[in-house]
Amino acid sequence: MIKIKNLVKTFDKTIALNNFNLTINEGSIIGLVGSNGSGKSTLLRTVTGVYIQDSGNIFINDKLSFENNEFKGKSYFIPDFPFYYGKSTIEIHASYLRKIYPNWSDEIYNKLLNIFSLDPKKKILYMSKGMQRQASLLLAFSTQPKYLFLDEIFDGLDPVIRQVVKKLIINNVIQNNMTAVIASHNLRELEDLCDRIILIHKGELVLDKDIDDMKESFCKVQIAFSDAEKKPVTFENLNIFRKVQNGSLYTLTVHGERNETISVLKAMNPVFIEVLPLTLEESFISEMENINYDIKNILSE
Amino acid sequence: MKNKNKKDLRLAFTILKCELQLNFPIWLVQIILTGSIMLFLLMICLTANSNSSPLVPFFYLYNSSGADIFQSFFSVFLTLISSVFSIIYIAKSLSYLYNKRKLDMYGSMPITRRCFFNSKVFSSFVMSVMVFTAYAVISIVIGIFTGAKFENTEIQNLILFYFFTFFNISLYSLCSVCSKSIVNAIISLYIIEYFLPNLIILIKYIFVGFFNGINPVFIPDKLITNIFSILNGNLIYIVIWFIMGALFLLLCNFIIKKRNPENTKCIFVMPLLEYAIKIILTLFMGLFIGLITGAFTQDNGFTGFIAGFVIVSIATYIIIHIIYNSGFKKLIKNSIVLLALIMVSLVFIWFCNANPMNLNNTVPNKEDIVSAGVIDIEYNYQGPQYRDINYNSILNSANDFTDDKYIDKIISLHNNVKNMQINYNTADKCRISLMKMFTGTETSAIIDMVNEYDYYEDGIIISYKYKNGLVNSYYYSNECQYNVNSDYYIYDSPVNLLDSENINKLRAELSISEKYREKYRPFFTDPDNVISIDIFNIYDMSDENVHSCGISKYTDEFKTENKLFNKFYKDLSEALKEDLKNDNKSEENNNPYIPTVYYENNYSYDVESSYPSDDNNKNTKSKFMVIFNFDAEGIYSIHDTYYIPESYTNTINVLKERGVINDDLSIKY
Repeated sequence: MIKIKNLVKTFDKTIALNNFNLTINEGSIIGLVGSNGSGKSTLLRTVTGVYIQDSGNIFINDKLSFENNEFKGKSYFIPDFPFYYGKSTIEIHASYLRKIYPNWSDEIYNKLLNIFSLDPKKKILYMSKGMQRQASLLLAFSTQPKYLFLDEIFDGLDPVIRQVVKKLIINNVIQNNMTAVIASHNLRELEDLCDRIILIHKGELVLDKDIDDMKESFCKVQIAFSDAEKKPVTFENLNIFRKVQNGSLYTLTVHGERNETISVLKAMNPVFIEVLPLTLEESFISEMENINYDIKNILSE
Repeated sequence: MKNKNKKDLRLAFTILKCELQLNFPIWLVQIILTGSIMLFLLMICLTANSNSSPLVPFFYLYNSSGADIFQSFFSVFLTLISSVFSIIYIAKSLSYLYNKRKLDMYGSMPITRRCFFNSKVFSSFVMSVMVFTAYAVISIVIGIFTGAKFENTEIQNLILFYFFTFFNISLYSLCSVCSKSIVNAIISLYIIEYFLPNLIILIKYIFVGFFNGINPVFIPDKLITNIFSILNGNLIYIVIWFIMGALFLLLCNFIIKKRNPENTKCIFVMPLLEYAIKIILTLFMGLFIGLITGAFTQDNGFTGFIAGFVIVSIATYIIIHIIYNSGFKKLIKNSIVLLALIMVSLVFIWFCNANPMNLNNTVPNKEDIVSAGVIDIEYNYQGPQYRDINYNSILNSANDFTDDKYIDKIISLHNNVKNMQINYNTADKCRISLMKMFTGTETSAIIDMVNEYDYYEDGIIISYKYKNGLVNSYYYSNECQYNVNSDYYIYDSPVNLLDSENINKLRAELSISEKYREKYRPFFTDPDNVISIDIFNIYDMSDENVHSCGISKYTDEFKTENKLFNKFYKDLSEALKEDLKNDNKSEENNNPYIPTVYYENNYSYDVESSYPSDDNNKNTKSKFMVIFNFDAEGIYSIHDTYYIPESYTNTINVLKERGVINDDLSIKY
């Protein structure tokens, strides 16, 4: 379990992480979202020991994470712009990491080489951005990490490889109880992968919620009443978060348990009622507005 | 714990192997470059013709063959090249400190920052040492096969290089962990290794200029200046390099764990190095320009010095601050250091100028001393190669004279010199400091045989041994430098401290004394090395009729001729020694004051240099002079000149008997 307590990290006078608290359970996949400069990458770098925090602590199973070789041997960090030696190949990198990471697996390495169809003797610098990402992932998974930290990992990957990567992450979580923390701008990428979303804004934790809970706490309903045009309907018994009226048809986003909301709406004798799927993004935006955050300014996309 | 250490060692070894692999291209460059230089030198040295080669002086210098010269030359080149490459290796190895992407990779690896850093430093050391060792061994083997003598210095050079490289790499590492860019780390290293020794030298010569009489040999500046140069190193420095290197590494290890490069916008991660650089450069520039402004404000040198120092110090400090901080940020906060620096420096300048403790400016009372001595730079011979007056010879000279007559003369000489400096003002002191700094005046000056400018130093070292056993030494000099090709003086001493009739007379009396000549003149200390004798008439110089005669030793095959020479030399030297003995007993000194022990390069002895000037001619009753020429292992000719007045009857008789001079003491053609 990763426990972050009152973490503060500044860059000169800029506060990147401000009194940040978070607990990450083993075997979970965490989506870290936030706008540019919100502190996502800083959080990953601080947890992985690249940066030293100004104050606060990070515990890994009750042990401090900084300079903790045991933790580092079980973790792998892929930054947004990974480093590759001047003209080195995947093979050279692998030979380096093989000696350093205690759980390196040649079996996984060879297997993933086939899956990603990468040439281990090709110079990494001459590969495309997407292939470089795949090379990084290949090396990362070969170390059999218990903790995987990924920063904007889906950038440059084609849809097929994205799915492969997602599957690899999920498989590792299921089989090895791996914990993954994935920082991204793109909520849609995280929707079918993460089981928890954390929103950071200006170095502060704004939202920390399970995706299921988030989705379940809102529901989107289309409902029509026969004389709604003449006499607008008031939904007094419901916590209406968003209401759009089009003639006699209402599209409602309601905060509350889904079945309960439907039964209340059905009791109002609508001529038509239909529950619409709510995307993570919509849930997220609704959740943010619910806690009075100007989401448009927070999310860049 | 044991397991952890084992793991760390294994990781360190892995990193070392990876570094060796990754640095292979640089290795290759070093191997090829060093190899090419080795082959080039080998070709030149082994094929050099001993008559026409420009290496001839070196054949003499090392008294050895081309193979020996190759070894000596290559050792220097190898050391220099390897030192440069050691910085390249460490700079490359520690470049991860400034690369965000590398830091992401290395920072998240299962290895502690310290272990990783130390592995990188160690791998740089190994890489630097490997090529050096390989080539050193190759050159020794080549030397042995080509007939060079195997000397302990080869092994000593190896050890020196290992320890110096350790020191140098540690110092760079410290600069590196304190900096935020590789360029800054290299510049910082350069500033420390170049400007710090120069600052020490500057301070030394401020002492020398301002406390006239202070003996530069006794100022331990070399201890610091030589630390940064392997070529000046000796085995003593091994300990210093090791201790300093270890300290730097300890400091690095302390910093590296806390290093937070992302937290600052200044080009330094740690202010430690920033302040060190600022202080070194500010003091150097301030004191240097202060001396110049002081020297040029003749009537108000002290104000000039202070004004120059303060203005330039502030300007330097601010400029460096702006460069390092990309603007005026934190300047006010940083100015406290500048203020403290200026205050301390002003107190130092005032102390030097006012000399409130009368430091090194006291002529002792006769009752307080048991013995005294004088070493005259121009009347002095310490060995066949160099007039190397070192610390020990100065201490030793304090025992030279124990009789009252000569102690009185020495005290009188000292008082005379001291009286000459009464009119010294701050501007003069500044000028002396600058001049001594640029001429590199040392009592151990080695004649520059390569430079076309010869250095001529006129000075005396007076030493006293006190009743409590302490020895105090004073050094006074005039210096001038002249161009050997055109015989004009480039500059002269700002104040002619030794240029007085009384001083000249006393110097001559002391230098011709029995005790002095037996200790410091080659005719007495190295009589077997005389290779020729010249006799010159003094007064014929004006009408261009130089009457002279010479007799030389021949090569070994001319046994008869050499027998004659030896006989002549024996008779002449016995007679002259007898005359000199008698001369010391008389109240009147017959010798003029001019240089008598004379060093010259390339056998180009200019006899005019030994002629007394017009002023001195008035005092001398000498008719001619006898010059004994010495073998200085082929590098220099050394001449010991004796002026022969009419009272030197023994000498005159020998010369008459041999038909060298006529009855009227003129020299025969």
